[in-house]
Amino acid sequence: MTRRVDSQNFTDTGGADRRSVLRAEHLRLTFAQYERGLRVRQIEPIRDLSLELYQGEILAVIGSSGSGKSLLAHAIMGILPYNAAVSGELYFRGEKLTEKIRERVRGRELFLVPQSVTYLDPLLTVEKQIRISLERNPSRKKRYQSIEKLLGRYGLGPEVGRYYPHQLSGGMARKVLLACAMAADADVLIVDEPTPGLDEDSLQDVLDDFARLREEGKSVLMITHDINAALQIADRITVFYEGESVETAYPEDFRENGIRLKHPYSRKLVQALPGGKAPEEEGSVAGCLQQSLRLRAEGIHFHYGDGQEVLRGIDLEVRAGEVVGLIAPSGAGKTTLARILAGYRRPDRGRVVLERFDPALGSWTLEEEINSPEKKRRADASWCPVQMILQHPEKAVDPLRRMQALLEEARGVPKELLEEAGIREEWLERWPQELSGGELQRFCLVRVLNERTRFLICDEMTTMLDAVSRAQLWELVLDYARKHRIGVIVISHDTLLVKQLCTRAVDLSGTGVSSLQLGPLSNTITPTI
Amino acid sequence: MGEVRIGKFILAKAVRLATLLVFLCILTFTLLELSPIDPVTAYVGADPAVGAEQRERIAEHWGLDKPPVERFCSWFSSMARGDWGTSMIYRRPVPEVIGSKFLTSLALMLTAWILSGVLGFWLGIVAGTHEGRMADRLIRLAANVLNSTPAFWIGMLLIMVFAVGLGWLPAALSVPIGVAEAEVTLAERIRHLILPALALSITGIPGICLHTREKTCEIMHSDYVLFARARGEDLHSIVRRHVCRNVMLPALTLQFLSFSELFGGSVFVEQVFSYPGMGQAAVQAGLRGDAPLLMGIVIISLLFVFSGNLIADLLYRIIDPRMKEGGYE
Amino acid sequence: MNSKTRSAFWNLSGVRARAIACVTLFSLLFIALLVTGSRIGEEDLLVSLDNTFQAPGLGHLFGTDWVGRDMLLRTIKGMSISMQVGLISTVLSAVIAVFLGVMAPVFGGAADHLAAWLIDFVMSVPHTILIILISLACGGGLRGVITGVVCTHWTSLTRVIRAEVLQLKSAEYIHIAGKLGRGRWYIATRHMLPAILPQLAVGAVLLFPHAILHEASITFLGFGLPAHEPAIGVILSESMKYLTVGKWWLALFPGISLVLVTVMVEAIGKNLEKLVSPHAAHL
Repeated sequence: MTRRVDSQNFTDTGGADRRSVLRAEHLRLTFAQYERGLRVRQIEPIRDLSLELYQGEILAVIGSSGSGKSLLAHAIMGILPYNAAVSGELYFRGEKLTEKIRERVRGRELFLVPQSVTYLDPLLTVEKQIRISLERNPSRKKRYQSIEKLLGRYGLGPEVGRYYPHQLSGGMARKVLLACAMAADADVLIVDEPTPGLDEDSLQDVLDDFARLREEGKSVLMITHDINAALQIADRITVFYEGESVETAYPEDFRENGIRLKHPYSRKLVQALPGGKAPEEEGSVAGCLQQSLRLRAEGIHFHYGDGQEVLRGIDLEVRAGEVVGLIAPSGAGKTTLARILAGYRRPDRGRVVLERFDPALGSWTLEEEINSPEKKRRADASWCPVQMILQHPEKAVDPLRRMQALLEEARGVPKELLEEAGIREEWLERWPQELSGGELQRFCLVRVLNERTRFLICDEMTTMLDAVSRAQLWELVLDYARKHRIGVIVISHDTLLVKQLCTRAVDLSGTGVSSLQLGPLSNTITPTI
Repeated sequence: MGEVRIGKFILAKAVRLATLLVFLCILTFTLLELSPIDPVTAYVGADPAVGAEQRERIAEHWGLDKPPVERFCSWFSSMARGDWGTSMIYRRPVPEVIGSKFLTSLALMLTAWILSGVLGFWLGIVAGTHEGRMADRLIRLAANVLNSTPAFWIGMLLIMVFAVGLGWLPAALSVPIGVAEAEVTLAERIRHLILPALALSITGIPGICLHTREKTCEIMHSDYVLFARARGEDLHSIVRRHVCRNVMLPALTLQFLSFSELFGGSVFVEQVFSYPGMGQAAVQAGLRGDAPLLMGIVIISLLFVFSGNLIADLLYRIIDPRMKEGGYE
Repeated sequence: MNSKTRSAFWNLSGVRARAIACVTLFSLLFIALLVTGSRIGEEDLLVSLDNTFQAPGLGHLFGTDWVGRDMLLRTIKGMSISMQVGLISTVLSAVIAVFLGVMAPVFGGAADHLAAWLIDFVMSVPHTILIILISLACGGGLRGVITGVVCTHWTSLTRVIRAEVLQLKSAEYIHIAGKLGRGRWYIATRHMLPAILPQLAVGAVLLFPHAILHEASITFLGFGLPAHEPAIGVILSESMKYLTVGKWWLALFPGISLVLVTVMVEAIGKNLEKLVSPHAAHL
């Protein structure tokens, strides 16, 4: 299935004039882990990884989230946990990277830029954090004499020096971490996941900075799951899949649906791209408005325990067969509304009803009231026709039960559906902790896909997942919705995704959250591409 | 904003203390009422010369003949006025007895508190930075065994070894026998303090040590220590710069939260060493049914523990930069 | 992530096997001591006045006391009595903990506040003082000491169970089970119990060391078991009188026995925890 990439695949990509600064050959990483009941588990996050980074270039290593990419960075730096075992060869500037050389170059020539604010000591101010790097750099020429200048490079004011890490935003923290690297005046930077959670402006800032570093002659190894960012900035891209580096390619190779790419996974990555082949052909779910079932919310009011009002008189209608997007900035009550629609929460005022069109009467009749007070009191619950998929699948499964039991709880799932969702037979015997987020989310999805479910609410269903899982899951949802004519509500902060998937979208933001503007997609979202 | 928050904080704490105190008074009083100990008998002992008439007079003198609720009310209101009654054993006002006993106990508890804090913290850091290695295993073993050892028995062991076996230190009391209070030298006092303080601090070490170790391990596995290692900081620098600072606050907090165990432990240690402090007074008051004194001690112990909790709470607010100001958002 | 699950269940050198062996062995030892001790009667503890204060030797491994009774037998009997008291206190504390820990969050509101306040209250008075008061109110003796220990020891386990139930109550997968049409019985037996039972078992076992230590300590002070019940606290209390005249064995061996039993039960609890709790298993 997976093919090993031979080393010539990338050695010939650089010219003779390019100096190799970092090279990994057939890197393999395993560790033993004890878990519940003290079973021993051998984990092999990296099976066979080879890559080469040249002077003055940006090399992106791209792979799905949770695939052990960060461990690659830790393996290079020599900071793996004690129960890890590494084999294979690492070279730094042509020299074998031994522990002795590591001690010399670590934090000086070779610098790891970690991904988040948790890598900063919470009790040290930004100034002190940067000073640690300066201390490590006594003999070399100091490009930045003062910490202010360093902060200035990243557009941070001198007052930031007195901040503690908890006072930094995600973007600021990344800049501070980069400033630490600059203070050390490192030549080779390993940057771990530099993009998640950044808004478009900050993302551009970070990518511009990498370009500037390249111009200064520094080499950057960028470890990421964000294919877009990698395509924008990297000189070459190494694709990491199932513990192996399956191929190294130029960004141009990813164009035209990736026909020049060798490995099927790389091509899948391209297809998962917005603007690539969309997982869903548009128009196929349109024309369903004559459906005879609808979910209707009327006059929903809700406020939090602290008195803050989040939902004020929300009206919403979704018909079976429709795919409706629900977009709003964070904090606007998207999730709260979703929970009310699915009957997890009761609104202060208003109600959510399921209605059926009666052709004889020519009007809508009440079929069921979701989360009515009487239902709450009744001891025996029944299958709710409105089901919800959460952002974090690991919260939606009982950690103490195997996946088999999870499916049994939903009274079984047909084999064909499991296959369609890409769930392997052997996963059924596993504990939730032994599956990745993407794999768990498949289970969460298939367990609610049966004839009793009429509406499905997907609350940031794929936000935490990698591009490929994302595409597969949405394909499954849309396919099922089309075949079985269920209504789908897609909640996301990703307007692009909503635009791709939905027949129409509803915007909860704007002037407060007083009302919902219903309308065709083009009215509420301006296309970005 | 800040002032409102502080005001709220103080008010909440005051209300909590008041409810705890009132409930404690009622509970203590009820429990003593339920107890079969007759204070008069406890006072006069088995002396047959004391006639029924005399007993009645004693009872009347202490107001023992009135119904319980009335007695509680009069006792409670006089408590609130600052009149804590008279100890039956010492025949002195309760605040006076407690005052002198508490100071004696405080010397013992403070010494033990500092000693156990410093030693426990240090051992915890050593164990935590050597996780899984020999030093860690040994320290953990010792701490676990000490955790399972009663304070009074540690005291007895110390007496066996240092007072009886080696004869280095006195086995009992806070001052030499037969010497007037005023003539006791400071050196003598310290000599008498060493063994009890040692016993009390040994019982305090495992708690703080294991807690510090846990925190140290946690920090050694934290992202920021990983980053520090990636930046080439060595173990010494990591411990000094990151571990100590970050462990200090939780350790100090735990140490203040341990006032309850400290007080409890001092009861046993004082009993073993016949050290005339609060703990011994509590035991005497309990055994001989000295209700006013016992109540006074219970209230003082609650205040003692409460102040420890309060300091721990304040420490977090004052020292931790994360609590001092709001976050970025 | 690529992973191979290799079950080492029967691998005797494994950590799991070691934990199981430790729990089994110590539990058997515990029961053996308990049974042996309870079979020693007064008739076995012969008073022999020409054998008083014998230092430990081959005839009497733990020495003899001031009336010539064998200290080994007395220690075993004393430990057994103390262990019984400890067991009863532990079971009663666990019952209270389960009751309050489950009821408080389930009923919520005022009940929950009350439970939280009660825990707070018990924790804000030194346990020793509280036990003295309570055992005094009960007139001392067996009943007094058990009541005292139970009244002060239910808090820690209650907190654990209450937190667990609170967390379960708000767990997403519990809500989802309801939406999938599963009733309360199903949720309680398939989701709640499997989560709480291990915590309860471990918590209860770990309560025992505290209970037995407090029992011995309180008895030592003179508030617990009466002098004619030869519990370990009584033996140690008696030995105080002979401490300064050099009869060290009277205090040493009974004390060591107490510590060993406590350490043993602590080890049972810790290993049990390793076996059932995924978080504690990192070693």
